[in-house]
Amino acid sequence: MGKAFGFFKKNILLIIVLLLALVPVAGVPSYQFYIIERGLQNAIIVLSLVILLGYTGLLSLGHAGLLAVGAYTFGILTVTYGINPWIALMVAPVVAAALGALLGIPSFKLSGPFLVVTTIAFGEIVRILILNWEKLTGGPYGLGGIKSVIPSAKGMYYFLLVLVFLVSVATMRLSKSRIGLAFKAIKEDEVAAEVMGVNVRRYKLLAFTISSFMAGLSGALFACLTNYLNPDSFTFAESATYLLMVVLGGMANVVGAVASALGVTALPEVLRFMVRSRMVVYSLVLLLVIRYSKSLNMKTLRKVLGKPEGSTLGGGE
Amino acid sequence: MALLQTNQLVKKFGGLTAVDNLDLEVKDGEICGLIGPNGSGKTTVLNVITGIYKDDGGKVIFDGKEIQGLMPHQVCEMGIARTFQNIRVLGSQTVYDNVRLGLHIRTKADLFNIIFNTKKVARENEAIREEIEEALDLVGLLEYKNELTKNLPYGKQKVLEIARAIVAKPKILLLDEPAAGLNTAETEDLMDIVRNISKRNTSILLIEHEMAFVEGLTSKVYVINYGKKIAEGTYNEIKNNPGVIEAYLGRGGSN
Repeated sequence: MGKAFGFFKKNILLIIVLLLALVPVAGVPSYQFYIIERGLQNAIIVLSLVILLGYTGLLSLGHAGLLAVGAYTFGILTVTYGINPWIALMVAPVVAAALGALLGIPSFKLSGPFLVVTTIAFGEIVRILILNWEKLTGGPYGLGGIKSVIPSAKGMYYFLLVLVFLVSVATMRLSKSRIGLAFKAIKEDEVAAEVMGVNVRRYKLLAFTISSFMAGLSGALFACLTNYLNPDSFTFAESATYLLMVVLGGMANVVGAVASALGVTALPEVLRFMVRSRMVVYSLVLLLVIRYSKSLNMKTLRKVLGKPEGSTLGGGE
Repeated sequence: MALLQTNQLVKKFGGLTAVDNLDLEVKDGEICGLIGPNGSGKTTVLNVITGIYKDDGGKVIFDGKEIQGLMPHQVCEMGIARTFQNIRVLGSQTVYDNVRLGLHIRTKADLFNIIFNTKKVARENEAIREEIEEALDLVGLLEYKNELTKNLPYGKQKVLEIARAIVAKPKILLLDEPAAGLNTAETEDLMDIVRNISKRNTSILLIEHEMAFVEGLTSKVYVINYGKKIAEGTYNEIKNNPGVIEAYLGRGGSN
């Protein structure tokens, strides 16, 4: 039995993906189907936080802003400029990555709650820009008529599934690599990392860039799924939900992140029959999971949020 | 020829001069000691040399180049590795991965190769495995390689830091109180480890309060107090130096 469990554990990502591949065959109603698609799209942005928060220990609450950059880049390129959606899908993450790299610069000097506030500000600036730059973004009226890269719902679903699988595998490879180790060293002990030759600034920037690239990709896919964009979809509350997803998934856990993205996306819909008490129950479920889950590492989060940088430098001498 | 040299090095914290016009010299292949009472500025010297603190004057010359003002990771790339007085290992990583961090500057796999898991990455991982295991063996931690570091006892975490430092193949290793907190047996093992590292053509500068350790290993000792050098020489030369005795014990009463 131990062996069977070992096999299960080793291939759990593949098993989840194969199970999800059966969903279209099982004839799930279209709304539920759409929710799973959104869950997959969310999984990619949650994986981006696995790299930034789980590995590198940098907390961003502005990722909805990066999602918006990806989504609007895709929307504007395809609708306003009539560019091929596949090309737009490749450009959108790059634009988000470039902006995300800029967002990474304050992380050289700021840490903990100070960096968090900066990322919140970034998210809000993006949202307010979108809201007011009506000519380009449609402002509060939104941006409609966006065509997906793959028109068929089933085709889009499989495309998302494959993307989530590939991004997950890439994230796992990154985790095991020297770059992943450098990220984790920065999270645990910046001074030790630096003294062992890790260019801390460069690697923080790299973490922000990779993470923003993935957030932008998720944003472009969001645009494909909704076909309509509106600044209300990119509020601070969204960023907080992504944080919740990554924390529930175990922060540095790829499979956990994917499962948690799917679960938390589906939960409010599953609870829809409760009508008015729905959000109360939703919050309660999440609170209970956080309180009683053994796999959650709240200590890390507390450290990321609260610990001022460079408290001791080998001193005490 | 001096491998590492500080020239009139100064470090101030506000009105306090922690390092005061300090001249040190570590020759190629030598083991030097840096001793002094608590608060005399020993660790600060290491922090300035490794770039953690910016100097306020003077020079640090390593291998013929001025390195003061470089970032810590640049100093590491020049060939200076160090350990810390209060251990700085990565507790939630394995022992193996802690040593692997020491190889960061000597490995080259980039993002592209990593994501596509190319042969280059596999080859590099294979190449470093032997080196990591050899370093772990040297400090007696090979059997713990898959253990989480935070589960190791203090003494073993301390030598793990040394293993991490030596895989970077430094020309000089700076040890900050390596024997502090170790028991007698561990201290003796540590002396053997340090001797072995020295034999590999690595110079060593060590800060230590454990005098048997200093006596047994160093060929030259610098004594500092209030950031100023008060004596230098072999251990036996400085042992009876009245200035050194005064720094440690205070001035004797005349009556």
